[in-house]
Amino acid sequence: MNGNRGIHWRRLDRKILVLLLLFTALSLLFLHSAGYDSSTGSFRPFWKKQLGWAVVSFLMLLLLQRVSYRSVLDHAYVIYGAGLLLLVAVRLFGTTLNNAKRWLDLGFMLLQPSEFMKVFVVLTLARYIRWREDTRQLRGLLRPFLLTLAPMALIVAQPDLGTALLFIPVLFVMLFVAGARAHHLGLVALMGILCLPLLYFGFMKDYQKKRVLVFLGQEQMSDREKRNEGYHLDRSKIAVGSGGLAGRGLGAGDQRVPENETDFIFTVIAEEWGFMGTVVVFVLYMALFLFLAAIAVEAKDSAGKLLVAGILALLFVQTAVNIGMTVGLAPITGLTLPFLSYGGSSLLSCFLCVGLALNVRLHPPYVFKRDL
Amino acid sequence: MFNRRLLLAAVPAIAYFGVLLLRLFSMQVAEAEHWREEAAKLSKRTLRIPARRGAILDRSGEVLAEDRFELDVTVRFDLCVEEAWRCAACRRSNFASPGRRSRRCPDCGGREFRPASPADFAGLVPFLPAGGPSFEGLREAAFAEHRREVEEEVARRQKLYMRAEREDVEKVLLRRERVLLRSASPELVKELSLSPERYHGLFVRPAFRRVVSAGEAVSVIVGQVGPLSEAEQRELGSRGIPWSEIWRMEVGRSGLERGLEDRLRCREGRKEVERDARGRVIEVLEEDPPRDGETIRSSLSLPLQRTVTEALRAACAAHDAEGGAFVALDPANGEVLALASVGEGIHARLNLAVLPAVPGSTFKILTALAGLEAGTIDPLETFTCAGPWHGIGCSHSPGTVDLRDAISRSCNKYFARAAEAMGIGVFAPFAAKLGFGRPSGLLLPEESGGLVPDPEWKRRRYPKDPVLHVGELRQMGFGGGALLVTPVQMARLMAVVANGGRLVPPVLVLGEGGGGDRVVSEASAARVREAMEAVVTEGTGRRLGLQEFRVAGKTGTAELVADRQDHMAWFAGFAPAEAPRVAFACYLRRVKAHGAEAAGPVVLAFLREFFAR
Ligand SMILES: [Zn+2]
Ligand SMILES: [Zn+2]
Repeated sequence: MNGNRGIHWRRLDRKILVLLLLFTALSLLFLHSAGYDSSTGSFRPFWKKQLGWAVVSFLMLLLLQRVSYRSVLDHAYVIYGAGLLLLVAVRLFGTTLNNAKRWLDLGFMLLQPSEFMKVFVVLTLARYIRWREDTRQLRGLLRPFLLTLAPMALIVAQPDLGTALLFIPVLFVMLFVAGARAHHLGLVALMGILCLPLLYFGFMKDYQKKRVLVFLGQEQMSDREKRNEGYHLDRSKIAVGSGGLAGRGLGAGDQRVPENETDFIFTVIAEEWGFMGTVVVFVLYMALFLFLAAIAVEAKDSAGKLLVAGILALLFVQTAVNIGMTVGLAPITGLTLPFLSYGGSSLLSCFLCVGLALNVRLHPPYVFKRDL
Repeated sequence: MFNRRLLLAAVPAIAYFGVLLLRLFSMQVAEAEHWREEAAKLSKRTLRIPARRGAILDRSGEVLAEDRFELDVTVRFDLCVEEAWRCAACRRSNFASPGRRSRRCPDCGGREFRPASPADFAGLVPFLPAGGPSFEGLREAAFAEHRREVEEEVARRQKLYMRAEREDVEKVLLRRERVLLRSASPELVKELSLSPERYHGLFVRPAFRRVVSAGEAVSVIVGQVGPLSEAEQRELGSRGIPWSEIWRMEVGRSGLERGLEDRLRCREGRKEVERDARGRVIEVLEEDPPRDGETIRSSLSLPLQRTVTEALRAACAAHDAEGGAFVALDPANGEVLALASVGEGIHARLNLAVLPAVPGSTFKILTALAGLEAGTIDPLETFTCAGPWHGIGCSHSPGTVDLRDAISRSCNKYFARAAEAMGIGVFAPFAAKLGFGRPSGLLLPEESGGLVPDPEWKRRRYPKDPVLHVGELRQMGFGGGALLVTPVQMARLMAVVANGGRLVPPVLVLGEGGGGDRVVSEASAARVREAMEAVVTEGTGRRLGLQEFRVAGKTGTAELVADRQDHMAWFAGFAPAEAPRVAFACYLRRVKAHGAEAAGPVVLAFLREFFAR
């Protein structure tokens, strides 16, 4: 394949591709389980649709390798603008499910632009920060902050607090590795906290406000509310815990945690494969993050490094929060588990993330503008 | 710089992952037993809320078929377990000895057990329906259902390549409520609700059951409801409708129940509740209210329906017929007032009013209309009928006939010649235009279209003799040949003449009728109407005794080719002749006597009832 404008396909990270295949296999296996409800006998073939999405995502990932990430970064602002437009479109004519307006109905699928906006923001930040020195000054932090805040506000308003809050650690990690001073970041964090009342009065829905008040100890939940709020977590913990060491066997789980095909897919794995399954999942993620970190370290330019660092932060936080929430170590926020949860938008955006990282390795710069 | 910072950022990340893994280890390995117990305690269950299928009423609001509210007695076997049904561990332990009523089984997840023997439920026996199965019999039947479901669940899981331990499946399914006794008597319900502790594990649950209240006078047209076929079940299953609902689902299988299924259908509601260890509902988690079906007022009149059914039955008995049908509709808008079918043997379950039969001379009305419209019949031109012509004979006395006489005296040769004169190219399309050869769209799934032979049909049906001969056309001209019509189509033809030339669509739902499109000129309709009046006053129908209602009509007698002894006896028409309010068609199958006389009493009975109101 030397004809492809000098792309050295041998530099494509095969280890990561194998990992993605393993993730996909695991996902299909447990989506098959999650689709069966023994109390009603109904079977929903999530796995079939997910298989389709996985194939599409793989092709998109490979297709992405044909252009250098630097040309992608050159268009980052356009992509960012398009992402914002999509979010505005959701606001105007989005589809409402479960009281949240997060999707655009494309006829053949429900597109969730916020899933892609995560990647776009990482791209934009990498583009903005790549040749700048001013991240070491407080003033220089303002624009990245604003760039992140705009999509966040639109996503909070959907409302999707979980996805919106995901942007903050990503921003901080990217600024941090770009060289921002810790005390500057601390100051920004303080400013952010001072902005919270604005968020509270401007964008939050009543039930979100209630959660905040409860969290701050300002209000008590009624018994009924507590039961409803706690119900999901209880079910999730019971499912995970009752899996035991070896699990109940593939397809033998009968703890049907609501949304166990999307946000709570981990409970199905934990129940049916037990702690063994947990270890499998952890090993897969650790390996993936390690390989991604290696790409970041080996990258020859600051843009590549920043890009991969941002992607790492994005995938890690999402994984950590998702698994954490099934056992009560993180709030239940509605984040999907990368590569394993059911859903086309989520899967494709995760594959795009990894695709960008692979791209950084595949297309090393020939001219070093600046050495870090 | 960059790499150092990346490493620095990785430290808290790795730490968090470590904590997470530790937490999972402690939950899944160290505390697994605790969570297993929690899982056993948790009992989220789905309660069904029955919904009512729409009722079918007659035009004045009387109930033809409805869902009747009943109370069923259900049993949960896990709450009243008998020795033989208990798991191996329970059977070994002595917790179920008679003195100790309530104990936990260590093996079945700590549910409370209470041994139940037939003796425990002895108090119920006096309240069981007399002559029905014994308590043990009922319980065995309910348990058989449990066993069947276990097999099905295991099979389904195996088909999905899922682990299917029979014991696990059994444990779960033992908790389902099974119907022990349908439509319990009020006394039984009272006994159960007064001392629930005596009947632990038995419940009284509401249910709806379909009843055709109006009885056999409407049973064929109303039709039946029944469970889904296997293919239909699979279809719904693939659409994500829960199997637990599909198994119980009943849909219209025939008649109006089927035709109006989309409007009558109801959808049962569900309530997801959480129960405590004693089975009491402590929290409603999700509720999906039941949706009742639409109640539909049909255009049928129950008194007319009863009268006609009775008269048909009497006529069949008197003439030794194998069955008969009667259809009456409002010529102004096509609303069906009565649609009855009676029969012997297999004909008892058929709706003869929408099934095809040889029309005989009643079809001459169509030939007359077609000829008048096409201009090939001059109503005043006379024809001298004497002796057979191409093997066609007449039963009237020889003489000269014009159109009026040809109809009133039922001259076969006149209409054979008329059909030949217009040709099949006019005859067949005209018949199709008046609704013959296709179903009338009555919403009855059984409805047949009948048959109007045309060259195309002949070619397909008889490849060895692919030409429609003129002889066949002559036969069709007076209602013979391969022609097949349904009584509904015949009644509609009568309505065309009665309302001055409009083809009304027959409908069974009140208010859904329409004026229909003009298919015949008013002049042609008037000509034929006049002739049909003469049928009753001076022609073949003069002995039917219909003069008092000023009926216009046409008799018909079709000889069955296979057996010249049996006849189809037809009488179709409308009344009153000058301002028709009702059009009808009546026929009896395989009448031993010759002639339309057999149908007369049925029409007479109907008209008496119709005009009495
Ligand atoms: Zn036991
Ligand atoms: Zn004649």
